[in-house]
Amino acid sequence: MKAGYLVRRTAASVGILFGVSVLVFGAVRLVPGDPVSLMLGKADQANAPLVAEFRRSYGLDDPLPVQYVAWLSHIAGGDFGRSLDTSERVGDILAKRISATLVLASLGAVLALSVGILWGVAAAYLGGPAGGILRSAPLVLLSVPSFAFGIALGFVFAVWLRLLPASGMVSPVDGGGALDVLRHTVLPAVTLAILPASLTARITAGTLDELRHEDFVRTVLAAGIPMRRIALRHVLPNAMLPVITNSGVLVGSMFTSAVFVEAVFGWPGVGTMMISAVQGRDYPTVQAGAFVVATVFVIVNWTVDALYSLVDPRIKA
Amino acid sequence: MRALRTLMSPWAWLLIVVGGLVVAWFARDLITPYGPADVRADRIMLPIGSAGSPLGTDNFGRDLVSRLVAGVPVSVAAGIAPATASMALGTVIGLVSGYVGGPVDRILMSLMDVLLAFPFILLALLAVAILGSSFVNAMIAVTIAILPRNARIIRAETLSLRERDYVTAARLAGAGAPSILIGHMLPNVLPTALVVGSTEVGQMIAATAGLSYLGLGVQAPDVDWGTLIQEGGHFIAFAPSLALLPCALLALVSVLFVLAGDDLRHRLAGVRGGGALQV
Repeated sequence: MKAGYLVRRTAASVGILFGVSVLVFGAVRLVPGDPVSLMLGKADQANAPLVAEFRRSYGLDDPLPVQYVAWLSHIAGGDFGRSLDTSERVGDILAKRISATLVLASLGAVLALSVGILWGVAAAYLGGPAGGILRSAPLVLLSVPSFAFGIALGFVFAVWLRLLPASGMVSPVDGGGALDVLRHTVLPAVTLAILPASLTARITAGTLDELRHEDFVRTVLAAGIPMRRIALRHVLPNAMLPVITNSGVLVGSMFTSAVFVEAVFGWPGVGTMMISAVQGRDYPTVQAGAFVVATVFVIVNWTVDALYSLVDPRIKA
Repeated sequence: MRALRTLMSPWAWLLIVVGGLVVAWFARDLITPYGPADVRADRIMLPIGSAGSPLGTDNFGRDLVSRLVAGVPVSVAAGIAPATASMALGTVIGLVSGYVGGPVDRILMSLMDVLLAFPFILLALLAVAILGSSFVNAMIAVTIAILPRNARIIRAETLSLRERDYVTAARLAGAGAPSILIGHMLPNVLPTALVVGSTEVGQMIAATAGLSYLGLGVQAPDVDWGTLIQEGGHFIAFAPSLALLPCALLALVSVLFVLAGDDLRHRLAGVRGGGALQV
């Protein structure tokens, strides 16, 4: 029954991925100057036979669609080319950087969801000034840039209290153990969690407000079940649906914060890789990073929709 | 009671803070004798409360007060220009896409879907990679990065307006698509555009400062709060105020803009609009 919906959704995702690949490929083509001037030195650029050989070997004389297909088939085989900066294989760089970002993001996501949901429930069920503050705090927190949070937290916990390291992923001396990595992860992960936790709190509080006036809540209330039990057993599970629907947005906002958090705390992840690649005009790395991250997001969004259609009986073919 | 309510309004605070900053910029020669780029070897790393430099100086002896004030026009422009430009473009795309429908709608929205596949900062980074790092390019980058969201919001609004009686009446009276779009649809999507756009001003200030912080926005010798935070960050252990003060100012101004936008949303109740975007 839901196969039709899933097929349509999958087709749309494949179409978006195609668009993403064209955009990423075309974007680098829009850069003024051509690869010859980027990759060859001044003396070599004057050497006409060398330039011709260079253009031929990189397929730069082929029509753009041919170049696009060649680029795509390389990427499909996991070959992202070499960094213009370090000559390392971009695929290898990406693998290292993605795992570092995942360490940070997974801890951040756990923190954000647990704190955010508790916060949203508290905001919805606490009255008075405490509830008011819990309700308005997320909007304020959402408007503060994450690098400002990172610098403030780094100052308090690393410089002032000297409790935690504020830079890197392992200690320069005797570092590298799991505990060492964990110590280095605390500050960046907490900073990373602030925005998605606020977003989750807002979504949860908003849904709980709507749900508590629903008929099924009145029914169980009339049956004499205490409010606390209704909140936990009947309302909260229903409040999870919007959190699931919005998890695409949540993951996207986490990536944006992660770029800044990695910059503040010197975390060797995809974010800092992209920043230095953009600064150094290392186009193969920029292309690969943008393509892989966008692909991950298309897949995340597809998974969210698929899960949601399974959970919510109202979505039909 | 009314006085209290005015005092609590974020618009009043926004007016006081941003108005104060703009006045300070115009009166900058009266506030401090030092220019934002004046390097003074005899005034290096002065602490807060030093004579002549009440907020201290940096490692080149440049006065923090004059550098914070010098960042005011950049930061205000960085908020208002991208929010206005992307809302204007988003309104055009959303109106045309939603009203005309058919293949035009499909092509425009597929394009927006492709852009939406990139997280905000990734799209901005990609735009900076193509355009190069400068203040104007950073503003263009955040304009592009927020555009698909705005176009989607206005399109949704247009779809709900398209079947209203007054639009049908105008169509039956023989009005063409351009006159319906400009005369009937545009005035009705404006409240939404205004609310969403005003919330985005604060977010764009933070985003552009963020690109400067990453070294991809304002380039030296020009200053904005993002570059100040970036430079001050190196000295966080000895002179934390160099980074923390611009951080606080940036956070204050973007929070006030976002709260003012949210206040506008409540006043124009019933207006549809996206929640806060995170930077």
